[in-house]
Amino acid sequence: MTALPPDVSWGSPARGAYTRTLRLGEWISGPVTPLFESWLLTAMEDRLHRQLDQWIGQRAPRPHHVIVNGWYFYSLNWLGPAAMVRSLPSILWHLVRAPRRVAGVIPPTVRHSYPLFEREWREELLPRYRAGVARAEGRVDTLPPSELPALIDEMAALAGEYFASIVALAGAAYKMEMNLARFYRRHLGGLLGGSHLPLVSGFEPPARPDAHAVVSLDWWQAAWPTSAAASNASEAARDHDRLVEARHSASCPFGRSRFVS
Amino acid sequence: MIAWPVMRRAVMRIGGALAADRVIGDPDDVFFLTRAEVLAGLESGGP
Repeated sequence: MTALPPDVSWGSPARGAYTRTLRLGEWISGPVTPLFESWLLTAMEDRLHRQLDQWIGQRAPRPHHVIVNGWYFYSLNWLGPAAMVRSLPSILWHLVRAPRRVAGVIPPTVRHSYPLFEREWREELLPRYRAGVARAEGRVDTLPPSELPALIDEMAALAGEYFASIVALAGAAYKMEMNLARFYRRHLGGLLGGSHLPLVSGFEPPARPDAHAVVSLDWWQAAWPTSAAASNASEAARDHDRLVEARHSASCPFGRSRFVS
Repeated sequence: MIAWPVMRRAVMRIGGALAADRVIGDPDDVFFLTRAEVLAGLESGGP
């Protein structure tokens, strides 16, 4: 080595707070290409925030993300005081007009919104998304190249709308877990000790997940297959067995005979 | 995300068209253009 590499700055190119551990950031496990960032990510975020504005009146300032050294960081600036003040009239208007949707923002009331978002996903969004993709698959190999950008725009908007639904439902999941934690602390913690966490861990992954799958509400993700991961496989299996045993014990703290006649 | 494969096929076809027009050297290079550069390349034959 004849020279040290130059110092790398991880400062944000825009003011505000940004994170990799929320929404699209959770799904992106590596640096992004210029095309992915400027096209798909941007289009999906635009659709996500338009949908959130339409559902609950929440308005997000731009930029919705920044790229630092090729890595994606999602903006949290919609949580800032100035943005919240700007959104407040719109959120209050939606609270009156669509209270079940706004209920999804608040943990104690989230159970009222979950069925609405779930039904819309199952009966409207998922069939429409699948139909749109099927139509695109029938055209993608025959359209002239000049017409392909419109097809990509259409798919990116659908994917963004679908992601907004994931945000609403996955967000509801963690808020419902907060309710479970509160219930445990209030009614069971004094008697049993510990916490609610064993009740929400140690579940089995699907038998044959796709390599890229995110398969549970707890964001279980298969590790990238590396030699280190392979050598740690038996240790991971033992850890998983311990979690399963802890969940079974927590589900039935006094023994099965107490509850089953 | 079930739309990923069809979008990737569309991007690869665009990359092929830009490479055929000698806008980029290889179809895979399309991933290192921005959306604006792709649209300009398709419109004028150069990003």
